[in-house]
Amino acid sequence: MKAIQKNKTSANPSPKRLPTVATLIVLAMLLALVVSVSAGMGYVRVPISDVVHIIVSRLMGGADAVAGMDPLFPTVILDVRLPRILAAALVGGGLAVSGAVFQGILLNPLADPYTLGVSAGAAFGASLAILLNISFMGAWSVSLFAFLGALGTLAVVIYLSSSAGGLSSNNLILSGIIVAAILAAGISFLKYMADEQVAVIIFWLMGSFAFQTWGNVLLLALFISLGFAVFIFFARDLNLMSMGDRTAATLGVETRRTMLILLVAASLLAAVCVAVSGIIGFVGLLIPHMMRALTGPDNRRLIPVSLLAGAVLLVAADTLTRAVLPAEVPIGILTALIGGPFFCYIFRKQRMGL
Amino acid sequence: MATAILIDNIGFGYAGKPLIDKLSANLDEGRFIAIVGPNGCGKTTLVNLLAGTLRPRWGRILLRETSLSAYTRRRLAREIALMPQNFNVNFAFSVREVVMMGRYPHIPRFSQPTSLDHARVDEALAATDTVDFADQLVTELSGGERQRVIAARALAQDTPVLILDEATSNLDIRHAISLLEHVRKRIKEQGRTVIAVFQDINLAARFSNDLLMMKNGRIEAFGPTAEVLTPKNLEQVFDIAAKVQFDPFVGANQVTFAHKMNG
Repeated sequence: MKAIQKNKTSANPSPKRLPTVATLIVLAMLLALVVSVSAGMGYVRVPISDVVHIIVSRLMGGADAVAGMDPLFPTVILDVRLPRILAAALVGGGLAVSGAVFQGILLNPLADPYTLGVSAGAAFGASLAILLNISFMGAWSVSLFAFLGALGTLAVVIYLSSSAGGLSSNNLILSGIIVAAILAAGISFLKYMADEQVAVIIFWLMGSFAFQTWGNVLLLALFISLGFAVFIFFARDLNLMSMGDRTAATLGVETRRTMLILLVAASLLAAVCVAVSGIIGFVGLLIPHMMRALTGPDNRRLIPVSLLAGAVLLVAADTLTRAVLPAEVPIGILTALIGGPFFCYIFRKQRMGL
Repeated sequence: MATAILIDNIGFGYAGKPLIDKLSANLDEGRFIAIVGPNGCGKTTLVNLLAGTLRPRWGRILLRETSLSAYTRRRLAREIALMPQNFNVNFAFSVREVVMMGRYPHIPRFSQPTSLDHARVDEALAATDTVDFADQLVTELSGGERQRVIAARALAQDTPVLILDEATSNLDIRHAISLLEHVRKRIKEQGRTVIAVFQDINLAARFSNDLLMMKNGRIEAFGPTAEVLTPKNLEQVFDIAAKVQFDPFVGANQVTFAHKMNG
């Protein structure tokens, strides 16, 4: 009798929801498929079987699998396309989980990784580096400045909202809006000051996965694994936080400490993503939103599912602009152009009672 | 009678305005203690202090002879549960998921609920008459139904001390009475302690063993309900004329009010 009850409650939390493990497996297979197909597409077409052979032989060793094919193929796949594709996957996953966490701690399904001004801070830092031609760290200078800009903004926003009476959702969102508005004016000023570099600034702001290296991929992988581990550790607390501070506290969460850890981790993750790829909107807003509709709001399911779905979406979008469209459209524009109307659609549908 | 919670000369306030002022009380185990008082008298602040979501500026609160501030949140969540008044949910958790959250303090971080956890959730759903919509989403419920779900979550928490912060304010009278009956049964059968803030003095009179009357952040009267619930005390605290009568239909003293005539 007890066993039956348990099955009833744990196997299927609600009739509307997809089973978690199956969803994860499907998404992982989809990601592998999208990555392989994408790697074959582009100026030099590589058959998908060759793509798989090249990746497998690199992972397992054994060069004979690559023996028969065009000697150009492994170079194109491994040195040019895979870093870009994997960076897109990691940024997509990173922004999606960061968005899920922000929505949970700010009790607001409309929050995203940039709500606290991380993107504005990164944009300001990057614009400054481009304008002043800072290059002491070579290609990494702009990314470093973007990262520092994001961190500085986060520190100001947290300071501002905690001195305004605590890290409440409203305080944080308001502080984020104020600081982002100031930075937006600063960015406009920098653009106004920049003559020839203004095109470089604009290009950076719109986001791109061109020119990614394996170094970037490793850096992203490191930060995203760390962030993901933190989020999974606190996923259950995040469920309680999403019910409000008082509830979370009386159900055993050290609210202040947990809030701070999650805010900093989610913002760091977003900052690294922005530093590597520029500002890519809507992924962090849309993916958690869509996944919540599929698997429910429990963050222990939502976070891993969002990671994979974000990766799939951004790889697909980047492949579209890189290999399908006649000319490369900046990825940030593409995600906003596709994501915006789609978001309007689900927003409307929800308001109308689903 | 053992002491459940000892309030030792506590104070709390924002910027010079004391909300709780040199308040001391001894809350006994196994009692239903009702707190009443006019709006803004500090009832909710006191409840937050007792639940540990606020810390007193002065004095201390002892739970079983240990200061509340010495408990971790998690340990405290296994001792004291809070049934709040207003509740908004922005995320579409199912009713069962929300009630299961009451079990989180008992379940290790990465573990699945045991059959005991499921049993406690089922009991709580039954006690609050929420079984019928257990698999619906909380976002689809009415205010009163949602409040019953939150009541179920606090019951599922299964703590020695239960605090009701106007937890019946949005409930229809049938559900309010059946929830309070259930809570009273837990006191009798399991020796729990209940601390409940009421707007409705007659509900307080009907269910409480002890009555604590507050005004301006202080205790105006505290003791067995039959002794404290007098016209004189009611007038002093609420500034209203009252008549207290035993009502055999209810089986307890009940109060009727009239606007106070002063000259």
